Amino acid sequence: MKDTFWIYINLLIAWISIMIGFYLLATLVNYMRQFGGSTLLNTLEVLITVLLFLLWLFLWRLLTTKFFKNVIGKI
Amino acid sequence: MLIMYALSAFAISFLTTFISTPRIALFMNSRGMVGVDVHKPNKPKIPEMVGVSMLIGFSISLAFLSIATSESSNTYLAVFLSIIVAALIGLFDDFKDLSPTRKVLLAMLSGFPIIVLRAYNPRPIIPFIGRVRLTIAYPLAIPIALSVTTNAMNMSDPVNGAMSGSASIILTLLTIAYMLTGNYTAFLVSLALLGATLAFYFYNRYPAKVFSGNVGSFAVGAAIGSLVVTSGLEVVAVIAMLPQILNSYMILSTSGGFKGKRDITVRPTRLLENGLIEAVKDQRAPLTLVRMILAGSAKTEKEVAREFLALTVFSSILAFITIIIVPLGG
Repeated sequence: MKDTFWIYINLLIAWISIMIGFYLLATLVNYMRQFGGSTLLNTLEVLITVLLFLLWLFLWRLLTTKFFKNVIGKI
Repeated sequence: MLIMYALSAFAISFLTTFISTPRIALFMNSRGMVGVDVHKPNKPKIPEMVGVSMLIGFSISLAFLSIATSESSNTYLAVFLSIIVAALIGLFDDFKDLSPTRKVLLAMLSGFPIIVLRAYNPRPIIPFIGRVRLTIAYPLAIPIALSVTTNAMNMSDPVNGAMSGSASIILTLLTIAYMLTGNYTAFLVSLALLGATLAFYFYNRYPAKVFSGNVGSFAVGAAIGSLVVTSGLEVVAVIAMLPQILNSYMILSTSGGFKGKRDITVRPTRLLENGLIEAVKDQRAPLTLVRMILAGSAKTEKEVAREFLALTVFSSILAFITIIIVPLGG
Protein backbone atom coordinates (compact mmCIF):
# COMPACT_ATOMS: atom_id res chain seq x y z
CA MET A 1 0.00 0.00 0.00
CA LYS A 2 3.01 2.30 0.46
CA ASP A 3 3.37 3.29 -3.19
CA THR A 4 -0.39 3.60 -3.68
CA PHE A 5 -0.83 5.87 -0.66
CA TRP A 6 -1.29 8.84 -2.98
CA ILE A 7 -4.45 7.25 -4.47
CA TYR A 8 -5.99 6.97 -0.99
CA ILE A 9 -5.13 10.63 -0.37
CA ASN A 10 -6.71 11.49 -3.72
CA LEU A 11 -9.95 9.70 -2.76
CA LEU A 12 -9.92 11.33 0.68
CA ILE A 13 -9.52 14.78 -0.89
CA ALA A 14 -12.33 13.98 -3.35
CA TRP A 15 -14.63 13.00 -0.46
CA ILE A 16 -13.78 16.08 1.63
CA SER A 17 -14.31 18.34 -1.40
CA ILE A 18 -17.70 16.69 -2.08
CA MET A 19 -18.77 17.39 1.52
CA ILE A 20 -17.52 20.98 1.34
CA GLY A 21 -19.28 21.39 -2.00
CA PHE A 22 -22.59 20.23 -0.54
CA TYR A 23 -22.15 22.52 2.46
CA LEU A 24 -21.55 25.51 0.16
CA LEU A 25 -24.53 24.47 -1.95
CA ALA A 26 -26.69 24.26 1.19
CA THR A 27 -25.62 27.78 2.15
CA LEU A 28 -26.50 29.05 -1.31
CA VAL A 29 -29.87 27.24 -1.36
CA ASN A 30 -30.81 28.57 2.09
CA TYR A 31 -29.94 32.08 0.91
CA MET A 32 -32.00 31.72 -2.26
CA ARG A 33 -34.98 30.34 -0.36
CA GLN A 34 -35.31 33.72 1.33
CA PHE A 35 -36.78 34.86 -1.96
CA GLY A 36 -39.48 32.20 -1.79
CA GLY A 37 -39.84 29.04 -3.88
CA SER A 38 -40.43 29.26 -7.59
CA THR A 39 -39.78 27.07 -10.61
CA LEU A 40 -37.18 29.57 -11.83
CA LEU A 41 -35.27 29.46 -8.55
CA ASN A 42 -35.46 25.65 -8.41
CA THR A 43 -34.14 25.45 -11.97
CA LEU A 44 -31.36 27.88 -11.08
CA GLU A 45 -30.39 25.73 -8.09
CA VAL A 46 -30.20 22.62 -10.30
CA LEU A 47 -28.09 24.47 -12.89
CA ILE A 48 -25.69 25.77 -10.23
CA THR A 49 -25.38 22.21 -8.87
CA VAL A 50 -24.55 20.85 -12.32
CA LEU A 51 -21.97 23.60 -12.94
CA LEU A 52 -20.37 23.00 -9.54
CA PHE A 53 -20.22 19.28 -10.32
CA LEU A 54 -18.49 19.90 -13.68
CA LEU A 55 -16.01 22.23 -11.97
CA TRP A 56 -15.36 19.58 -9.33
CA LEU A 57 -14.72 16.95 -12.05
CA PHE A 58 -12.23 19.26 -13.77
CA LEU A 59 -10.38 20.01 -10.53
CA TRP A 60 -10.33 16.30 -9.58
CA ARG A 61 -8.74 15.46 -12.91
CA LEU A 62 -6.11 18.19 -12.39
CA LEU A 63 -5.31 16.89 -8.91
CA THR A 64 -5.06 13.25 -10.05
CA THR A 65 -2.77 13.98 -13.00
CA LYS A 66 -0.58 16.20 -10.78
CA PHE A 67 -0.31 13.41 -8.16
CA PHE A 68 0.40 10.92 -10.92
CA LYS A 69 3.12 13.06 -12.47
CA ASN A 70 4.87 13.23 -9.08
CA VAL A 71 4.82 9.42 -8.84
CA ILE A 72 5.48 8.25 -12.37
CA GLY A 73 7.24 11.29 -13.76
CA LYS A 74 6.20 13.23 -16.79
CA ILE A 75 3.28 11.66 -18.67
CA MET B 1 -40.00 -11.90 9.83
CA LEU B 2 -37.56 -9.38 8.33
CA ILE B 3 -34.55 -11.47 9.36
CA MET B 4 -36.12 -14.55 7.80
CA TYR B 5 -36.77 -12.72 4.51
CA ALA B 6 -33.25 -11.27 4.60
CA LEU B 7 -31.53 -14.61 5.16
CA SER B 8 -33.73 -16.27 2.54
CA ALA B 9 -33.12 -13.57 -0.09
CA PHE B 10 -29.38 -13.75 0.43
CA ALA B 11 -29.26 -17.56 0.54
CA ILE B 12 -31.41 -17.98 -2.57
CA SER B 13 -29.32 -15.65 -4.72
CA PHE B 14 -26.02 -16.95 -3.30
CA LEU B 15 -26.82 -20.63 -3.76
CA THR B 16 -28.45 -20.17 -7.17
CA THR B 17 -25.42 -18.31 -8.48
CA PHE B 18 -22.92 -20.59 -6.74
CA ILE B 19 -24.51 -23.74 -8.20
CA SER B 20 -25.20 -22.38 -11.68
CA THR B 21 -21.81 -20.71 -12.30
CA PRO B 22 -19.74 -23.87 -12.96
CA ARG B 23 -22.53 -25.34 -15.10
CA ILE B 24 -22.82 -22.22 -17.21
CA ALA B 25 -19.02 -22.12 -17.47
CA LEU B 26 -19.02 -25.68 -18.85
CA PHE B 27 -21.72 -24.73 -21.33
CA MET B 28 -19.87 -21.61 -22.50
CA ASN B 29 -16.64 -23.58 -22.80
CA SER B 30 -18.34 -26.23 -24.92
CA ARG B 31 -19.67 -23.51 -27.23
CA GLY B 32 -16.26 -21.90 -27.59
CA MET B 33 -17.31 -18.79 -25.68
CA VAL B 34 -13.94 -18.17 -24.06
CA GLY B 35 -11.76 -15.17 -23.40
CA VAL B 36 -8.01 -14.91 -23.02
CA ASP B 37 -6.67 -14.11 -19.54
CA VAL B 38 -4.12 -11.58 -20.78
CA HIS B 39 -2.41 -11.00 -17.44
CA LYS B 40 -1.14 -14.58 -17.20
CA PRO B 41 2.11 -15.53 -19.01
CA ASN B 42 0.56 -18.68 -20.49
CA LYS B 43 -2.58 -16.78 -21.66
CA PRO B 44 -5.16 -19.38 -20.59
CA LYS B 45 -8.64 -19.46 -22.11
CA ILE B 46 -11.39 -18.81 -19.58
CA PRO B 47 -15.16 -19.30 -20.10
CA GLU B 48 -16.80 -15.94 -20.92
CA MET B 49 -20.26 -14.46 -20.28
CA VAL B 50 -20.67 -16.60 -17.17
CA GLY B 51 -22.09 -13.50 -15.46
CA VAL B 52 -25.46 -14.84 -16.63
CA SER B 53 -25.37 -16.87 -13.40
CA MET B 54 -25.60 -13.64 -11.36
CA LEU B 55 -28.57 -12.63 -13.46
CA ILE B 56 -30.28 -15.91 -12.55
CA GLY B 57 -29.43 -15.39 -8.88
CA PHE B 58 -30.77 -11.80 -8.89
CA SER B 59 -33.97 -12.82 -10.71
CA ILE B 60 -34.94 -15.77 -8.51
CA SER B 61 -34.24 -13.91 -5.30
CA LEU B 62 -36.16 -10.81 -6.40
CA ALA B 63 -39.05 -13.03 -7.48
CA PHE B 64 -39.03 -14.65 -4.04
CA LEU B 65 -39.12 -11.25 -2.32
CA SER B 66 -41.92 -10.06 -4.57
CA ILE B 67 -44.07 -13.07 -3.68
CA ALA B 68 -43.10 -13.41 -0.03
CA THR B 69 -43.35 -9.81 1.07
CA SER B 70 -46.13 -8.69 -1.31
CA GLU B 71 -45.27 -5.10 -0.41
CA SER B 72 -43.25 -2.77 -2.62
CA SER B 73 -43.40 -5.30 -5.48
CA ASN B 74 -43.06 -2.28 -7.77
CA THR B 75 -39.49 -1.79 -6.52
CA TYR B 76 -38.58 -5.43 -7.07
CA LEU B 77 -40.06 -5.38 -10.56
CA ALA B 78 -38.32 -2.11 -11.50
CA VAL B 79 -34.93 -3.34 -10.30
CA PHE B 80 -35.44 -6.70 -12.02
CA LEU B 81 -36.40 -5.14 -15.36
CA SER B 82 -33.53 -2.63 -15.22
CA ILE B 83 -31.08 -5.47 -14.69
CA ILE B 84 -32.59 -7.50 -17.52
CA VAL B 85 -32.44 -4.58 -19.98
CA ALA B 86 -28.81 -3.83 -19.05
CA ALA B 87 -27.87 -7.53 -19.27
CA LEU B 88 -29.39 -7.78 -22.76
CA ILE B 89 -27.35 -4.75 -23.87
CA GLY B 90 -24.26 -6.36 -22.34
CA LEU B 91 -25.02 -9.62 -24.12
CA PHE B 92 -25.41 -7.76 -27.40
CA ASP B 93 -22.07 -6.09 -26.72
CA ASP B 94 -20.44 -9.48 -26.06
CA PHE B 95 -21.52 -10.70 -29.51
CA LYS B 96 -21.36 -7.51 -31.56
CA ASP B 97 -18.68 -5.43 -29.77
CA LEU B 98 -20.56 -2.14 -29.62
CA SER B 99 -18.81 1.18 -29.89
CA PRO B 100 -18.32 2.97 -26.53
CA THR B 101 -20.72 5.77 -27.56
CA ARG B 102 -23.44 3.25 -28.36
CA LYS B 103 -22.80 1.45 -25.07
CA VAL B 104 -23.27 4.68 -23.12
CA LEU B 105 -26.46 5.60 -24.98
CA LEU B 106 -28.01 2.12 -24.94
CA ALA B 107 -27.27 1.69 -21.24
CA MET B 108 -29.64 4.59 -20.58
CA LEU B 109 -32.49 2.30 -21.63
CA SER B 110 -32.06 0.37 -18.38
CA GLY B 111 -33.40 3.42 -16.55
CA PHE B 112 -36.73 3.40 -18.37
CA PRO B 113 -38.43 0.58 -16.43
CA ILE B 114 -37.93 2.65 -13.27
CA ILE B 115 -39.47 5.72 -14.89
CA VAL B 116 -42.38 3.82 -16.47
CA LEU B 117 -43.22 2.03 -13.21
CA ARG B 118 -42.69 5.30 -11.28
CA ALA B 119 -40.55 3.34 -8.83
CA TYR B 120 -38.52 6.35 -7.80
CA ASN B 121 -38.76 9.11 -5.25
CA PRO B 122 -38.07 12.50 -6.85
CA ARG B 123 -37.18 13.96 -3.45
CA PRO B 124 -33.59 12.81 -2.82
CA ILE B 125 -31.80 13.74 0.39
CA ILE B 126 -28.77 15.94 -0.19
CA PRO B 127 -26.23 16.33 2.64
CA PHE B 128 -26.70 19.54 4.66
CA ILE B 129 -29.72 20.52 2.55
CA GLY B 130 -32.18 17.78 3.35
CA ARG B 131 -34.92 16.66 0.98
CA VAL B 132 -35.08 18.54 -2.30
CA ARG B 133 -37.94 18.42 -4.76
CA LEU B 134 -36.69 17.43 -8.23
CA THR B 135 -39.96 16.40 -9.84
CA ILE B 136 -38.72 17.14 -13.36
CA ALA B 137 -34.94 16.81 -13.05
CA TYR B 138 -34.88 13.47 -11.21
CA PRO B 139 -36.64 11.28 -13.80
CA LEU B 140 -34.52 12.93 -16.50
CA ALA B 141 -31.39 12.03 -14.55
CA ILE B 142 -32.34 8.36 -14.03
CA PRO B 143 -31.22 7.10 -17.48
CA ILE B 144 -27.96 9.03 -17.09
CA ALA B 145 -27.38 7.58 -13.61
CA LEU B 146 -27.99 4.04 -14.85
CA SER B 147 -25.65 4.57 -17.79
CA VAL B 148 -22.96 5.88 -15.42
CA THR B 149 -23.15 2.94 -12.98
CA THR B 150 -23.45 0.36 -15.77
CA ASN B 151 -20.48 1.64 -17.73
CA ALA B 152 -18.43 2.34 -14.58
CA MET B 153 -18.75 -1.30 -13.49
CA ASN B 154 -18.13 -2.47 -17.06
CA MET B 155 -14.84 -0.55 -17.11
CA SER B 156 -13.92 -1.80 -13.62
CA ASP B 157 -13.04 -5.35 -14.63
CA PRO B 158 -9.36 -5.02 -15.56
CA VAL B 159 -8.05 -7.89 -13.38
CA ASN B 160 -9.51 -11.08 -11.93
CA GLY B 161 -12.22 -10.43 -9.36
CA ALA B 162 -12.08 -6.62 -9.51
CA MET B 163 -15.65 -6.11 -10.69
CA SER B 164 -17.43 -8.80 -8.69
CA GLY B 165 -15.34 -8.13 -5.58
CA SER B 166 -15.84 -4.36 -5.64
CA ALA B 167 -19.56 -4.78 -6.34
CA SER B 168 -19.82 -7.07 -3.30
CA ILE B 169 -18.10 -4.47 -1.13
CA ILE B 170 -20.36 -1.65 -2.39
CA LEU B 171 -23.50 -3.76 -1.92
CA THR B 172 -22.40 -4.70 1.61
CA LEU B 173 -22.08 -1.01 2.43
CA LEU B 174 -25.49 -0.25 0.90
CA THR B 175 -27.07 -3.16 2.81
CA ILE B 176 -25.78 -1.73 6.10
CA ALA B 177 -26.80 1.79 5.06
CA TYR B 178 -30.38 0.83 4.23
CA MET B 179 -30.67 -1.11 7.48
CA LEU B 180 -29.41 1.86 9.50
CA THR B 181 -31.75 4.29 7.74
CA GLY B 182 -34.76 1.99 8.16
CA ASN B 183 -35.38 1.29 4.46
CA TYR B 184 -36.13 -2.40 4.83
CA THR B 185 -37.32 -2.99 1.27
CA ALA B 186 -34.02 -1.70 -0.07
CA PHE B 187 -32.20 -3.70 2.63
CA LEU B 188 -33.77 -6.90 1.30
CA VAL B 189 -33.09 -6.03 -2.36
CA SER B 190 -29.50 -5.19 -1.55
CA LEU B 191 -29.02 -8.54 0.18
CA ALA B 192 -30.54 -10.34 -2.81
CA LEU B 193 -28.02 -8.62 -5.11
CA LEU B 194 -25.12 -9.14 -2.70
CA GLY B 195 -25.66 -12.89 -2.54
CA ALA B 196 -25.21 -13.26 -6.29
CA THR B 197 -22.13 -11.04 -6.63
CA LEU B 198 -20.45 -12.69 -3.64
CA ALA B 199 -21.08 -16.19 -5.02
CA PHE B 200 -19.73 -15.19 -8.41
CA TYR B 201 -16.65 -13.65 -6.81
CA PHE B 202 -15.63 -17.08 -5.48
CA TYR B 203 -15.13 -18.25 -9.07
CA ASN B 204 -14.00 -14.93 -10.56
CA ARG B 205 -11.29 -14.01 -8.00
CA TYR B 206 -7.62 -14.61 -8.79
CA PRO B 207 -6.88 -16.96 -10.48
CA ALA B 208 -10.19 -16.62 -12.29
CA LYS B 209 -12.01 -19.73 -13.43
CA VAL B 210 -14.77 -17.68 -15.09
CA PHE B 211 -15.23 -14.26 -16.67
CA SER B 212 -18.47 -12.35 -16.30
CA GLY B 213 -18.52 -10.84 -19.78
CA ASN B 214 -20.28 -7.59 -20.53
CA VAL B 215 -23.58 -9.31 -19.77
CA GLY B 216 -22.46 -9.76 -16.16
CA SER B 217 -20.80 -6.40 -15.59
CA PHE B 218 -23.72 -4.51 -17.16
CA ALA B 219 -26.16 -6.45 -15.00
CA VAL B 220 -24.17 -5.68 -11.83
CA GLY B 221 -23.87 -1.97 -12.70
CA ALA B 222 -27.59 -1.75 -13.38
CA ALA B 223 -28.30 -3.64 -10.15
CA ILE B 224 -26.44 -1.05 -8.08
CA GLY B 225 -27.81 1.89 -10.05
CA SER B 226 -31.44 0.77 -9.98
CA LEU B 227 -31.24 -0.14 -6.28
CA VAL B 228 -30.01 3.34 -5.40
CA VAL B 229 -32.37 5.20 -7.72
CA THR B 230 -35.44 3.36 -6.41
CA SER B 231 -34.39 3.45 -2.77
CA GLY B 232 -32.35 6.58 -2.13
CA LEU B 233 -28.89 7.19 -0.62
CA GLU B 234 -27.61 8.40 -3.98
CA VAL B 235 -24.75 10.38 -2.43
CA VAL B 236 -23.62 7.40 -0.34
CA ALA B 237 -23.47 5.18 -3.43
CA VAL B 238 -21.49 7.80 -5.38
CA ILE B 239 -18.91 8.02 -2.59
CA ALA B 240 -18.64 4.23 -2.30
CA MET B 241 -18.07 4.03 -6.07
CA LEU B 242 -15.41 6.75 -6.18
CA PRO B 243 -12.64 4.36 -7.35
CA GLN B 244 -14.86 3.08 -10.19
CA ILE B 245 -15.93 6.63 -11.09
CA LEU B 246 -12.30 7.80 -10.93
CA ASN B 247 -11.28 4.91 -13.19
CA SER B 248 -13.92 5.50 -15.87
CA TYR B 249 -13.63 9.30 -15.74
CA MET B 250 -9.84 9.19 -16.10
CA ILE B 251 -10.07 6.71 -18.97
CA LEU B 252 -12.51 8.96 -20.81
CA SER B 253 -10.70 12.21 -20.17
CA THR B 254 -7.14 10.99 -20.84
CA SER B 255 -7.89 8.89 -23.90
CA GLY B 256 -9.75 11.69 -25.65
CA GLY B 257 -13.36 10.64 -25.23
CA PHE B 258 -15.32 7.45 -25.85
CA LYS B 259 -12.86 5.02 -27.37
CA GLY B 260 -12.98 1.26 -27.64
CA LYS B 261 -10.07 -1.03 -26.84
CA ARG B 262 -9.14 -1.19 -30.52
CA ASP B 263 -8.98 2.60 -30.79
CA ILE B 264 -6.52 2.96 -27.91
CA THR B 265 -3.12 2.89 -29.58
CA VAL B 266 -1.02 2.53 -26.41
CA ARG B 267 -2.12 0.06 -23.72
CA PRO B 268 -1.92 1.40 -20.14
CA THR B 269 -0.05 -1.63 -18.77
CA ARG B 270 2.21 -4.41 -19.99
CA LEU B 271 2.94 -7.93 -18.80
CA LEU B 272 6.60 -8.60 -18.05
CA GLU B 273 8.36 -11.90 -18.65
CA ASN B 274 8.53 -12.55 -14.91
CA GLY B 275 4.73 -12.37 -14.68
CA LEU B 276 4.58 -8.93 -13.10
CA ILE B 277 2.41 -6.19 -14.59
CA GLU B 278 3.91 -2.75 -15.00
CA ALA B 279 2.51 0.70 -15.88
CA VAL B 280 3.41 2.03 -19.29
CA LYS B 281 5.26 5.37 -19.08
CA ASP B 282 3.78 6.80 -22.24
CA GLN B 283 1.60 9.90 -22.17
CA ARG B 284 -0.58 8.50 -24.94
CA ALA B 285 -1.73 5.66 -22.67
CA PRO B 286 -5.02 6.24 -20.80
CA LEU B 287 -4.75 6.89 -17.07
CA THR B 288 -6.61 3.87 -15.68
CA LEU B 289 -6.88 3.02 -12.00
CA VAL B 290 -4.68 -0.06 -12.57
CA ARG B 291 -2.03 2.16 -14.16
CA MET B 292 -2.17 4.39 -11.07
CA ILE B 293 -1.83 1.35 -8.78
CA LEU B 294 1.23 0.26 -10.76
CA ALA B 295 2.75 3.73 -10.97
CA GLY B 296 5.16 3.15 -8.07
CA SER B 297 6.29 -0.35 -9.00
CA ALA B 298 5.34 -3.42 -11.02
CA LYS B 299 3.10 -5.86 -9.18
CA THR B 300 1.53 -9.29 -9.59
CA GLU B 301 -2.07 -9.46 -10.78
CA LYS B 302 -3.11 -10.71 -7.33
CA GLU B 303 -1.56 -7.64 -5.69
CA VAL B 304 -3.29 -5.34 -8.18
CA ALA B 305 -6.65 -7.01 -7.53
CA ARG B 306 -6.14 -6.73 -3.77
CA GLU B 307 -5.27 -3.05 -4.08
CA PHE B 308 -8.34 -2.41 -6.27
CA LEU B 309 -10.58 -3.97 -3.62
CA ALA B 310 -8.77 -2.17 -0.79
CA LEU B 311 -9.50 1.15 -2.49
CA THR B 312 -13.17 0.19 -2.74
CA VAL B 313 -13.19 -0.73 0.97
CA PHE B 314 -11.64 2.67 1.74
CA SER B 315 -14.25 4.58 -0.26
CA SER B 316 -17.02 2.49 1.33
CA ILE B 317 -15.68 3.46 4.77
CA LEU B 318 -15.85 7.11 3.68
CA ALA B 319 -19.43 6.50 2.52
CA PHE B 320 -20.27 4.96 5.91
CA ILE B 321 -18.78 7.97 7.70
CA THR B 322 -21.01 10.16 5.50
CA ILE B 323 -24.09 8.34 6.82
CA ILE B 324 -22.91 8.89 10.40
CA ILE B 325 -22.08 12.57 10.14
CA VAL B 326 -24.88 13.67 7.82
CA PRO B 327 -28.50 12.65 8.50
CA LEU B 328 -29.68 10.84 5.37
CA GLY B 329 -32.51 8.75 6.73
CA GLY B 330 -36.25 9.14 6.75
